[in-house]
Amino acid sequence: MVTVSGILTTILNESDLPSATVEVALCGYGSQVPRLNGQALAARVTDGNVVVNNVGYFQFQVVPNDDIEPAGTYYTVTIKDDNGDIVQVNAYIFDSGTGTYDLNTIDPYDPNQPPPPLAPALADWFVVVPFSANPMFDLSQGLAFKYTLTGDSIGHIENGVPGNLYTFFIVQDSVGGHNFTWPEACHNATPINMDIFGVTIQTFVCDAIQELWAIGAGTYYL
Amino acid sequence: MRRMLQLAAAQAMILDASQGETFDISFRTSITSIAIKNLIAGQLYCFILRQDATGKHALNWGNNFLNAMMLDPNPNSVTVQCFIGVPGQVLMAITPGTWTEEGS
Repeated sequence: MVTVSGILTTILNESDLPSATVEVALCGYGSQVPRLNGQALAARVTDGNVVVNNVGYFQFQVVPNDDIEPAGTYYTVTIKDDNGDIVQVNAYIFDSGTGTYDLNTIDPYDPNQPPPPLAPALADWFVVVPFSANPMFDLSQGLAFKYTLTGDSIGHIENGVPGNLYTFFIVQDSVGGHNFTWPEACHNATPINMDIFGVTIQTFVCDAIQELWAIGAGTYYL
Repeated sequence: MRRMLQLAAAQAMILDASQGETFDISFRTSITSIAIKNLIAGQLYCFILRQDATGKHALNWGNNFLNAMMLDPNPNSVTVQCFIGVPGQVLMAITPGTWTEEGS
């Protein structure tokens, strides 16, 4: 958590705010709910209004924006006068590295900016590898690889990322019966389906020396 | 992308899932107590479990690991077991694990 404080009379350049209140809200782009460690965060950060003492000092704590997924969230701090009318709304980004913020000394964030880029679509991680007698599966290019057999071939892999899961879709063509030798670094793989148009799906986990270990038995589809 | 932690087995282990999603554990001793914290529901977690040249080390899966298979006791064997995190800080196996002798 980061601690945020301020003095209303300084922020507003107003000497007389006897009953002003402060509200804090969490905002984000798009339809995704902001999350912390997978748990959804409420848009309304403060439970009721932030307490403002008789000299206009207030303080609250929030989750740092850089800990929140997806990227691009920010907070709004709304100040209302004693009639409940909004006299100021500003946006801020609070990072975990700073720890404490004094709103009297920092500039607001302008939320009118292009939203951050979206995470790559899953389809971007699906790679179709063309047939060859010795196909190379470049694991830096995707997490799932489709490979259609039109003849016999021996697979090879490179650029595995330790800890990643990789899934292979090995497909027979309209003739079927083609042999596929799993890459030497792939351990415990299921023998492939030899049927016409048969599909074999096998998932591996990559270790530190770029060996792939099957995480379970492969499956067949027709 | 996923992160991997390489760890040495100890009698009692508490894994931190906020540090990685794949755990590669080398066994030179048995694990009698293992737990995991900071799980994210819906995330997949994989365990690569390696026996040393002696083998026969055991793993007593803790209460928050459900349906996990036994560790292959053969020397130099590698057992792989994957789970999905579910609410309540519990891991459920998504498939029977695999095992093989290293280098095969």
